[in-house]
Amino acid sequence: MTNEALLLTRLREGDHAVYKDLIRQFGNQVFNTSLGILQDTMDAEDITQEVFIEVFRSVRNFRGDAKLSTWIYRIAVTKSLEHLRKRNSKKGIANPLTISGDDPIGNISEVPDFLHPGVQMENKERAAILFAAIGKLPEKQKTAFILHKTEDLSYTEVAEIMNVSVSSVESLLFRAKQNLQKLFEK
Amino acid sequence: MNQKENWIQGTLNTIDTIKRADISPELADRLSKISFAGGKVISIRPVIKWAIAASIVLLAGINIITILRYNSPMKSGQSENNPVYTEYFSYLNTL
Repeated sequence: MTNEALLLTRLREGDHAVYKDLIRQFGNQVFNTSLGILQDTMDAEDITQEVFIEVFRSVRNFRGDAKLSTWIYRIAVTKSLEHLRKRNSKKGIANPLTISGDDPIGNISEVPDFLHPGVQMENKERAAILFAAIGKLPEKQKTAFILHKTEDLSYTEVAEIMNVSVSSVESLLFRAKQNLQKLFEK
Repeated sequence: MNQKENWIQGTLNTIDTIKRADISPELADRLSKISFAGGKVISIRPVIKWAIAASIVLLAGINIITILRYNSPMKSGQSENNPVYTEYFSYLNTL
């Protein structure tokens, strides 16, 4: 039995020590993914908690056809995007999914108010502008960009999480970069 | 590459300098408190926890005030003429 299979068996048996290990192992990944997508620390914390509740709830139904990390990332991305849609609809911001084309939504003329906690002091201003621009990207481009650039995942891993082909990921990242450049030029 | 293009490239490259953020001790505490009862995952958000605590304090406070007022000697003429007071306490006296 592989390590992951053993871990899954123990998780399904409700082994608390394994649950704690899982949080230790994936807590940062889940939080950082949510933080990149939501750009709000409190929201990202709430979503991280929701992700682990969902992981523990559905681990019995997880067939193991994907890696455990892929499955956890998938839940994190889905929950973060759902939360983002709810938040945007409350604020009356258009949902990028409902808009045709791959163009970014709006511009970054307003003052960016999110500062990623992992940003170095000398890059504070530029990082704030960058995250404001990332926030304007369509959902799929944003997700691919966050997973690849901030989570340092390979194209293959991003493709597995997003359930798309590797070439789609390449295309999403290419368009994301183009759109970010367009936003900076405005 | 002109100055603007340099700035754009530099801003795009900022993403490579960002370090992964650690979860706060508060979040770690919240995650560790996710508990399991009969296969069900139980977790109460801090906001809800505080709302429950505040409700209990409020209820207890109202009860204490009511009991103290009920037990305190009534000043003459203060409440006999108040129909709400008379009705409420006459109902309590029947219990």
